[in-house]
Amino acid sequence: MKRFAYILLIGISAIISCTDSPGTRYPRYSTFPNEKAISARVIDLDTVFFRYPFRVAVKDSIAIVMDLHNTDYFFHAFTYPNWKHIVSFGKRGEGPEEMLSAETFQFNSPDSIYALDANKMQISRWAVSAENYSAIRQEVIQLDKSLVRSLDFYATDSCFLIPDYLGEHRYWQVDYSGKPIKSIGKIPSETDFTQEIRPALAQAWRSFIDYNPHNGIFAMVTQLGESIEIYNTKENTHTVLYGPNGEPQFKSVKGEGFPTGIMGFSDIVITDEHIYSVFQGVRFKDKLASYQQGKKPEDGGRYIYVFDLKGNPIQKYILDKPIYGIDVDEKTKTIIATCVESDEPIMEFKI
Amino acid sequence: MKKKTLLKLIFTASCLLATYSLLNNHETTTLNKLAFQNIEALASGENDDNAYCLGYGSIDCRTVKVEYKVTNFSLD
Repeated sequence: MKRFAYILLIGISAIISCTDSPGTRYPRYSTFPNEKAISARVIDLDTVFFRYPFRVAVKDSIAIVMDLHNTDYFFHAFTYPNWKHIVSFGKRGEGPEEMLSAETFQFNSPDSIYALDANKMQISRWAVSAENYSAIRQEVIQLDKSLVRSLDFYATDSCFLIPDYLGEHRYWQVDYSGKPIKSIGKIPSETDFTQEIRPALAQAWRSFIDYNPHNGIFAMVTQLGESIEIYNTKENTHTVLYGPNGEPQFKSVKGEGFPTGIMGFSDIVITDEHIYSVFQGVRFKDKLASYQQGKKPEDGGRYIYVFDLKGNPIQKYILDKPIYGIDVDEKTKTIIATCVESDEPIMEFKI
Repeated sequence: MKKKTLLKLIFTASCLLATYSLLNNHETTTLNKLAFQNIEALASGENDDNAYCLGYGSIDCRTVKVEYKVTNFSLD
């Protein structure tokens, strides 16, 4: 009888251990088939002082850099590839024409530069002229209050795509008058959180997004974890991937999220063939340990992860400098990047 | 007799484990607090949630962008 009980116990344990854990709902990537170390070529810029160059975008002969913490102007336009200063715009201030904050921007053409001010809940469109050294605000779209706080966006031909801030959905389609039209998806956490925790969950899952209208791929990467989502809007599929660090870790206090895990991704770019993302992967605890030793921890990612459009890992680039934002040109095999760590705010990598 | 010895052993082991985890927890909190004090404050300020927005960075914290968003000077 005793022997039978032991056999039964071993049998049950074996079944439990062989069954997939309910905690791992989504596929994991752990390695990349190709790894390559690449070195930065620092761009010589002596005309503009940046405090925290966060985003960069290049279109034909103009490059725009967004400075997250600039005290005067958030945006700076340069000639490309010579990097001569054209004009600074998006003045910081509380006036009606000024911006309280800048989250990100989208550079479609010189007369179609969209900028997001999360604190004012406005998206403004600007036109830059290299000939006249000017930047003029063309229009302002006031985002609906129901969106609460918008931290990233993509302007398509028909609407804005904006991540949801309250955790009820994953993202919104918002029309050009700022009104939400449709909510899509939900946060792909492997933990089932209660209703009250969802705003904190959404804050922890704060994601950077990009969309490519040619292939219909809309993808998001988490700032505070290692999760990637790919929506193929043409084939109507949704892929979720987790890296070795998993989903964002956080604690919730009165519905507010406080990150406890890692600094994850800092930017994403979708080209016609690939998804490029900047990854940091440093634990907050390790950053704090650096402070404890009297050292300032590095800010920025030393990796660029490249996936195909289905989410298969393709390439890992290991960088010799920590970077934040990127712009990718696959034709010239060039990545332009921002760096917040040194007096070398803009650099270029050949891939 | 054997049963009593086993129970005593389990009890002692539990006590040791509890003491260790208590000390370990305390150590982590102290380390974090000291570390946080070295960070340049951007928008610090205690409030009813004991929440802090610290340093210059890219994490969204109550309308500012910071390096750390924490409560009680702890990540635990």
